[in-house]
Amino acid sequence: MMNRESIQKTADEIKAEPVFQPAAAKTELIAALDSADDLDTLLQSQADALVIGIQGFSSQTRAQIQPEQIKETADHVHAHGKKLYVNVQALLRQSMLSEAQALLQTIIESKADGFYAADDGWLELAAEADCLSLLIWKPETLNASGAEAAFFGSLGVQAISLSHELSLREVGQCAEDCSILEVQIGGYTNWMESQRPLLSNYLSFIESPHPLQPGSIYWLQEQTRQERMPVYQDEQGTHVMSSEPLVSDGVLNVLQSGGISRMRIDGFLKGNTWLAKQIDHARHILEKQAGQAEESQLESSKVWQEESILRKQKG
Amino acid sequence: MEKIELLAPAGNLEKAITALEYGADAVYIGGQSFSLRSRASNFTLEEIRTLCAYAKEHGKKVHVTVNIVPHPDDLQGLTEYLKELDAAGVNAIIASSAAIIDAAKKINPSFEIHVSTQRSNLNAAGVRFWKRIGADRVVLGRESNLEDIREICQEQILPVEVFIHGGMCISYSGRCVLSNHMTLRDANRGGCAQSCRWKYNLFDEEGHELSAGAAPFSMSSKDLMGLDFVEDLMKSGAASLKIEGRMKSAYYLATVVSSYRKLIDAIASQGSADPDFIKELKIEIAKAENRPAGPGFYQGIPRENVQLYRKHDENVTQEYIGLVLDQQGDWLHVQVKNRFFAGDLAEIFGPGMENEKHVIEKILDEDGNALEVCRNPMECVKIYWPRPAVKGAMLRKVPVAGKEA
Repeated sequence: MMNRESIQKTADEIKAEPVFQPAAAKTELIAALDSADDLDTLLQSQADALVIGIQGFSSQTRAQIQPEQIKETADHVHAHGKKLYVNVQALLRQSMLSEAQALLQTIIESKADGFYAADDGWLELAAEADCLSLLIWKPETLNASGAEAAFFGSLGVQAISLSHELSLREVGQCAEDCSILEVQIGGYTNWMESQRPLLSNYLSFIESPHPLQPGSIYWLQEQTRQERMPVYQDEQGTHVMSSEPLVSDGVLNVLQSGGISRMRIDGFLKGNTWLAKQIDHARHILEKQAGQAEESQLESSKVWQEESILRKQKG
Repeated sequence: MEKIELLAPAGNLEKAITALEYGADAVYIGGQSFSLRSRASNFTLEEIRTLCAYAKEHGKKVHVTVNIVPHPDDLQGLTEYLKELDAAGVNAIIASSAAIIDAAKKINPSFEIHVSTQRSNLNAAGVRFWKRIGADRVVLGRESNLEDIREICQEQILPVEVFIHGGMCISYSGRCVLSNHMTLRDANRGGCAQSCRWKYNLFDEEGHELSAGAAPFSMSSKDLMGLDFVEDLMKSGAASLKIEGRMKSAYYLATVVSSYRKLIDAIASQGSADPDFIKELKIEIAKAENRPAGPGFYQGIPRENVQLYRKHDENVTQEYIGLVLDQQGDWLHVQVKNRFFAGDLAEIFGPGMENEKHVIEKILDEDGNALEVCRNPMECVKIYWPRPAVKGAMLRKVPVAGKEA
């Protein structure tokens, strides 16, 4: 949703937009945790739902729990009136399939409210277990049209997370075809995912005296550019993230009135405290009357604006 | 052992016919809409109709890639285009978008659909899903190893297609947007700038450069060379072996396709592959390759020896110099492809013939004048060649130590 071309479109479109009326239904704000340790930080926020990864099956998160911890975590989150979704977005190698089937049963029995998946195999496993209503379909950039979303929506999944590479106008077009859309409105997005251990391969190739530090974040800088992209390696392979986090506070009301009923902020690399602030800020914007959102002067917005659309335009 | 399909890429009609003549059972091509590889020539509808007719006449098949990941505006004209493909007689479309697959099935429920590798299907559940949706074949992700492929095929859910040769995405195909963000070219709509292959500096969490003084970090993979795995894949029950490279030359296709054709036929008739024969075929393919190749994921997760960090060597050992248009007596009628001289050592290879090396003794222009050198590509000349050859055969120049190439 936020390449440079679409950012310019977004700014132009906002200026051209008439006054929007907030949607009648409350927008679900979803917080994808950066850490499993201080989950309670988000329980005090205005998030409606929390997302946490499952060790061995998740992707793009450092917040991970074991399958046997799902029930306890779900009970705890539910006790605070919020939903718990789990991230099982890793692509499934054939050798992971039987374990994935067992994990799905655990998710169902734990009464988690949904699970994010990116592998076509999960669609089948969920259909076979008659729990497609738990599946939040998030194959990253593959969900790029309303027709695509409508197709998967017709299978009975809970929600469709759209590609980040859509302009605001395209998101609106998608919403005309599908009513269960979710978009990421904040945080880093994924730019590349490889099954190869690219970092350790390279460090080994150059005979670096600094072997890969598990859990560490590294940075990649293309030799003719200034931006640095976070990159890390885990048991799933190598992941390159966006050079800057996504910020959408200027368009939240447009998304809401355009029919987007679920919005997600990803705390990856930013921490749960940052995430809680952004969630509360987004809630504040969404609850304000249309037209006033951009004038928000919340304390947290100052931090946010530093990484805003305007900054990205300069880059 | 079930008969396995050898599936070759083709960027234009000439390449498609070359691939089929050199032993491909089917070719996959892109039309001028809805296809990745926007820099490939790609086929007009008229050319698709011509190719389908040619393929049908020769007992071969044509698959058409309709494999973009469409944004909302990209879907305009899709239905009309799919109807044209259906009417043209294409044997299958290769698609990654469920919206496109759904549209094709609504046009004609018997439209054969192959689910693209862009969806990165690596497990049997994914294949079951696509069977339920109505697909006819699944192209597995290039991250599949031999054991996984064997297990998936054993379930006999749908025919399974796997890559056997050619370029490798460093990312899961279809899940990479480096090009989108770094160049505003959408990889999933035909614009991949191969940003992964650029040079990067690598820093640790504290900002110390780890690549200082070393070869730059790169996400470039060696190409896949699957000759060693053909027998296993045939025995696993895979339905199709796919060669990558719609941008590759006719010469490359002829060399690679004929090599895999010979190996598949040898295994089918003898039950196994002779290691010495595989060595010969590797030498043959190296005559047309200009990137180092490796086993991809077939032997497990690739380590640093399967990646490229330095400028890769242009290591083509032999050069394509001419296409045989026909043979009249002891003279070949040849279309010149690259410069060569009378006296050069040349190797001829072609459909259904053994490779042979001979010195080019005499060259004549079309008026019968003797030539010392042919330097104009596409010019037609006659070469003295007093031995059998076939139409469509190709001539390569064989380097001789101490002589100008």
